[in-house]
Amino acid sequence: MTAADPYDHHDASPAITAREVRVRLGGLEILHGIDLDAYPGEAVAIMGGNGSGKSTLVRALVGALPASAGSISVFGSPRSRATAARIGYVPQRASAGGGVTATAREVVQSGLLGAGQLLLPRDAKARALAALDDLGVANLESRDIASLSGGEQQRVLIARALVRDPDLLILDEPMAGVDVPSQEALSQALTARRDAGASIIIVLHELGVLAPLVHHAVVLEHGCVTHIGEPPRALGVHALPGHDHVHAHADLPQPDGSTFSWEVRP
Amino acid sequence: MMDLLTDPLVQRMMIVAILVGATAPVVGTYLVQRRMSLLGDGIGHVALAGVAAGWLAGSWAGLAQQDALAIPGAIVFAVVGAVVIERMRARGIAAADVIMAIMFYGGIASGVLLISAAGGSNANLMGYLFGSISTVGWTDVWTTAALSIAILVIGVGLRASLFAVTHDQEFAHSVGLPVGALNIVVAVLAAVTITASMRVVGVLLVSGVMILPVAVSQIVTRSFSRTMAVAMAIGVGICVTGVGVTLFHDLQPGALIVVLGVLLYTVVASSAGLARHRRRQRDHAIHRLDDASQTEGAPA
Repeated sequence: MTAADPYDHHDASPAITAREVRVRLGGLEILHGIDLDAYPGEAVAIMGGNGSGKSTLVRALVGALPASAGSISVFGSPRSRATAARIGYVPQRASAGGGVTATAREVVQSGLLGAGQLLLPRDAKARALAALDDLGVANLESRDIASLSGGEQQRVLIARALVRDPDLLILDEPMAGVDVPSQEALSQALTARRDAGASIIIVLHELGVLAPLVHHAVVLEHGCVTHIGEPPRALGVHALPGHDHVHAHADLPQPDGSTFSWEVRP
Repeated sequence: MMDLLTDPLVQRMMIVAILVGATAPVVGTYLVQRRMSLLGDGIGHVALAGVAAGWLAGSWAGLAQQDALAIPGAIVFAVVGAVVIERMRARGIAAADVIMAIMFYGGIASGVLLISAAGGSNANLMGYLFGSISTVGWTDVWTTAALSIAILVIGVGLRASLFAVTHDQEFAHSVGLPVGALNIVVAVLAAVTITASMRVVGVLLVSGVMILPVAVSQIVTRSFSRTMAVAMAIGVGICVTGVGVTLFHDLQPGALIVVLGVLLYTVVASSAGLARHRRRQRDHAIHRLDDASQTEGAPA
């Protein structure tokens, strides 16, 4: 691998390999034999419409759902509670939360736990603060997580994954319901991780601001892979002519006759 | 007053009240977190069947003290019941509320059947339904103390992991935490807490001591750890006050403790609501002032 081409991974071993993965939920097969590879230093997007099995796939990859058939290996070993130490997972925002309030720092600290780590390490507080600071939300440290905006919550959940210093980062729809400044902050944090050699798997509805991050895409339809390679710029109805929503910039006419324009990063 | 404090019965009652007040909210915090506040009731009813089964076993064995096996029976039934509820919930066999309903009715009905089979009457069950703190002996105190220490060591000691599992199970799986085992720990802690608290408030009201302090604490705190700590203090406060008042007035201590909890919740919740309302009004007033000064400052 040369420094000039960070995507050249022919002599690297994959961070995660999935072969013929099948997942059944409530007696129904949702994934019908999925293959997936992600290498260090690259970002793979898992794309597809609603109900295509994107979230089911990442849940199986992290062990939150059992695979009914197939194999998943992480850095060369079969996926287990021990290999989980190298994975940072960001579930969909709606999956988290309970009946008791918790602060952003408490949530991030829980990212320091693991298979042999039922108690927080001594430096948990400092590490959680540093992770929040990396995402630009150190000021939210003692705020109740439920009182934060969607974008702020998402930054906290990403800090919880990054505090583990993972070699493989798996994110499920991190941009859903996230404001533009937070999207920028997330994009920067993810790019920095990828450039530092981490492997990133990211479930996306559309590429949006993450287009420059993503190296290749795996597109799912009805639980099967229908495309591997160049990320599609838009999917489904969005691919129709006149539906190109990846504008270079957008101009909104204002009531006083002027226009308000903002740039979307290329 | 000094006489009262040196009275061994009063000492025993107070020790048990402090232990139960401090431990019940620890487990209550996890149950509220998991939105299973009524789990305590479900397990409590199963524990009642355990009391009756212990009674039946005692009478079959011809024990002099018929209810000697009542508490061991309650612990066994409660732990088994809690684990069954947790497994059914985790496997999605039935919705949590349906499982709980089955436990409620199944537990109380089999309790009544078993006690009548043992030749006892429903009156024998009353002490377990509503608590009978004035009958605690030193053995009860030591049993409660041992159970309480176990609950505190595990419930407070493992709070980071138990928080992670109850807050976001999917993430807990991803980091490699033993999710299934930790869920069972919460269920067993709940079962042990209920049997330990049964003598003070009874199975019908035990959930009140677990949940009410957490409900109050949540209004005034933001962090999970702080919620648990404040809830423990509130639990001790209402249990000691409740038992203390019954030394001077002939009232049922378990019921008084729970009513104190409800009153405290009402006062704190309405004060918090009032404070929020005041803050909003003040913010509105400031906005109006800002708007007014901007209009004045703007060029005509």
